[in-house]
Amino acid sequence: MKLGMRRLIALAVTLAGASAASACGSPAPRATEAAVPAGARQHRVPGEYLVTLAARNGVEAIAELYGRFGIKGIQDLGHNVFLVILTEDPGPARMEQLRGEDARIQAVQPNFVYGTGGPARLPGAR
Amino acid sequence: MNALLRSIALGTFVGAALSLYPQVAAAPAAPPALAGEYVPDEVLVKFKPTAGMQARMAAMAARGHSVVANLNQPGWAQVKVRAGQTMEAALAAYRNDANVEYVQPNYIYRAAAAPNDTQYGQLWAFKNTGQPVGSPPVRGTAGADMNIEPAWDHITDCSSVVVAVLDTGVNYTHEDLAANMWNGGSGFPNHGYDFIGNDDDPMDDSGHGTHVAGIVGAVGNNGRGTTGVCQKAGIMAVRVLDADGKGTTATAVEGIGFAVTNGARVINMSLVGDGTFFDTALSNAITNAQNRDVVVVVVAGNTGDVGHDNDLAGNATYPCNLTQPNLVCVAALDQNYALANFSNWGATSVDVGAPGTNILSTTGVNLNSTSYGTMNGTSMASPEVAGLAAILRAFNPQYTYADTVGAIKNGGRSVPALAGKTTTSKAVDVMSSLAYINPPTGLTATVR
Repeated sequence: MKLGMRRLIALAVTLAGASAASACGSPAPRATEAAVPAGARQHRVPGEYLVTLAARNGVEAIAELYGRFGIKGIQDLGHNVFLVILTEDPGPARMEQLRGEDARIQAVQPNFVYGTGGPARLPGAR
Repeated sequence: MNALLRSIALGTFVGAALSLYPQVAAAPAAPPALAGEYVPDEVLVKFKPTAGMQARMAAMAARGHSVVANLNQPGWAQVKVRAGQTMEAALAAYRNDANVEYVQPNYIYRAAAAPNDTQYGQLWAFKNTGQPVGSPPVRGTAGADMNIEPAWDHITDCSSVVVAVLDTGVNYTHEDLAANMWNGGSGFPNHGYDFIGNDDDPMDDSGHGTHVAGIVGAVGNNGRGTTGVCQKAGIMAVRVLDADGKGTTATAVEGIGFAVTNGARVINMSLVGDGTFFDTALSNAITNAQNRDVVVVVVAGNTGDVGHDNDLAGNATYPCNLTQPNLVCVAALDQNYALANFSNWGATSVDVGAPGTNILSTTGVNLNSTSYGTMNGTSMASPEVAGLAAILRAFNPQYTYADTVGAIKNGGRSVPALAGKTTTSKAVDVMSSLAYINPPTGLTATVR
């Protein structure tokens, strides 16, 4: 399956990069986003981000920049966009701050949650 | 030949035929082969404006023909031909006449036949007679529907246009869907892909996507269940929402990419963001679809809560609030063509309205399901429009996304309830959109 193979390759490359980064890089900060109160609606998946690479850069750039948070997985979504799953969630603001310090990363955003559109009850419906 | 059919053919359909079948109206260099059903002893002759009544009568008399009626279209006459004369000979007799601009058979048109699906009578979106639908039963307003039956006289088969349903999956074994699923070949033997489970089996374990798919293209006129907007269709199942109806940017982006790469020309996404946020990655994916000439139909969303502000101006919801020109955002109408109580709206973001309450369609997650049920929501309105997009692109294979979206928006019918609540103030109208003629693009007019 072509789709599966592409993911597998990306995952293998990235995990390798993440290991190298954590072995050679500076100590990873432990700043994580404040916990979301119980019962609050989650508009994004905690610890998951979509990272867009600038042209001519590989997934090792992601590993080097965000590996400090521990990379559980990465998926190639096409068009230079990768889903990055982190062990620790630094929060969107910290992810964006780091992006601004590395020209290899074009954009980063949360992995937002979508649904079927909410309740659609008619007046008087049982 | 019965008189009713003649009068229909004469009075109503000359104009319709001229606009819907330009190949008939255009005078060809060589006469086309005779096809279709026509009145055997009649032809329609268009005389040139320079030919006076006397010249016209003389032309007919010289051939042993007589006028049946002068039509209310300039120059056109209904002519009875000589007994025993073949249609080919009757047409040839006028082709070289200097007074004649065009001649053609008097084709036969028949009143639209409703499909024979057993539960068709419940599909008020297609034919609203004020019938009771739903539980508790609700009666609507006769005529408040999509005006689809006249369009089915011209086209029911959209299978040349693949429609991707990005949803909770599709029960591709359902008795009313199996024959209308996209053929994914050996690469995608289950008619699509599952981006939740990351495998090639997009089976629905919720029911939402199956209901949506049936609205686009449940098999029509097969003597069972319901019909979709497209009676024959090519539905690509793309699972981007889980059993709870939840997905993410990542699954949606992957789903769009899959649909575009594998030939979908229309994408339906009955999904909304779970909050107010701008999603760059999803926006880029829709732009990529635009660059590949794909129409994307999305929902306005259901706020549902009584007293909640349903105006998207202050509560932007994505993807509806995105502004790509290949995007159509749809609100839900009820059986009286009022805005459904749960439907979001937006004067600058929501484009059109479509039926979205008590919508009967295919359901069931078990293999070979024979189940049907009603659902409410903009999720149900959106696939009505996706089906319309497929009809338009199947009927006009040269249509770009811009032509298709233009015909949907401009061909709609004004509905008071949508005034100030959508960009067009219109509900979709299938026949009017089919007959809508997009202005030509790429032409420059010079005024001297």
